[in-house]
Amino acid sequence: MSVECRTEWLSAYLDGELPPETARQVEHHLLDCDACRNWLHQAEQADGALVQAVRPPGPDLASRILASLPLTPIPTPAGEYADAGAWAAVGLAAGGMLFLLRAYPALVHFWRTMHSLNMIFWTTGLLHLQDPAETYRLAGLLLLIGLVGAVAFYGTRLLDRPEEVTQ
Amino acid sequence: MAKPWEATVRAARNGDSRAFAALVQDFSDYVYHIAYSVVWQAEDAEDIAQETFLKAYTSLGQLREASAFATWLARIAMNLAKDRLRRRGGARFLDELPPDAPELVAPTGPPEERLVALDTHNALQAAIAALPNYYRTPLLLRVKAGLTYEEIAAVLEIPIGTVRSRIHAARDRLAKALAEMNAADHPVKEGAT
Repeated sequence: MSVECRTEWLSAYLDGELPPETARQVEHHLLDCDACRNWLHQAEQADGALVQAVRPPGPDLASRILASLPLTPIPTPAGEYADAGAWAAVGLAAGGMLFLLRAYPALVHFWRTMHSLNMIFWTTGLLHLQDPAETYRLAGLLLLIGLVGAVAFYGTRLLDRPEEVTQ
Repeated sequence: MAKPWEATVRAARNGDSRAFAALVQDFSDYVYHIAYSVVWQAEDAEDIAQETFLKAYTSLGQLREASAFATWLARIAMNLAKDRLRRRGGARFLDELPPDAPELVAPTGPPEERLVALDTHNALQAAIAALPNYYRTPLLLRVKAGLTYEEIAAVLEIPIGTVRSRIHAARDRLAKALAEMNAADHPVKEGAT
């Protein structure tokens, strides 16, 4: 592959954007080509002058930006989801307990019917939960764990509120 | 390879305001130069930098990859700069017409050097003024904001090959303007170089 006088490659070479092999070819070509060497030199001059010619930002730009930021904490989606998740868990746990209390007679009736039909022996047998009382104890325990977990999680979120932005 | 500021971005995303303040310190000049490359006015570029960080502050949670922070920030700045340009009623960003003469810093230093620098300054100002935005902006993003071709392509939403050719075209025009100036018979400049 011949490099010839491709100034587009020289521009990319100046920016360090050429693959190593192509960069080596360009360097080799530059040894023998005055026109390309001149172009590269002028391009470097133009870059340097351009960099110097641009007005720099004021010295207090960062301070000005910081002063303009709101005092409210940075909104984090994780926080929003965690809040929503915690409330959902609390709601589910409370609702589940209420449902158990309210629907206890109906559940016992349903359990006995199913038990008599021998339909859920297989699953309950695996869990050794043939006894309805044992099942309710387990359900209550799971709901309690869920409730404690949700309260602990939400409580942690409340304690871990981000600090205000330093002005 | 992980970028050095990724942990800071993650901390800020989790609500750490001190980490966000550190990002403002590290990236304010970067954002300013991106804005400047479009609007070419220091005051407007500073306003845009301020707006950019305000927007970043409220929407940082939407950034999924901490490693994409610099490009994400650059795109916010770029969009705000384009809006500003539109509101100003000047040339549209991708307009082929040359924009208004850009604001450049006048050279300083000893009188003799300043005279030489002024020649270069004037020649460069004329050459830059003649560059369309779509040539000027990628070159400034490269040489002043320090973005790679890949990052410029992402920020300007153009193919990387287009970035390469536009940067080359901008440089070619500026280099030719400087070459013409160098070729002219100018005793003060020759003595100084």
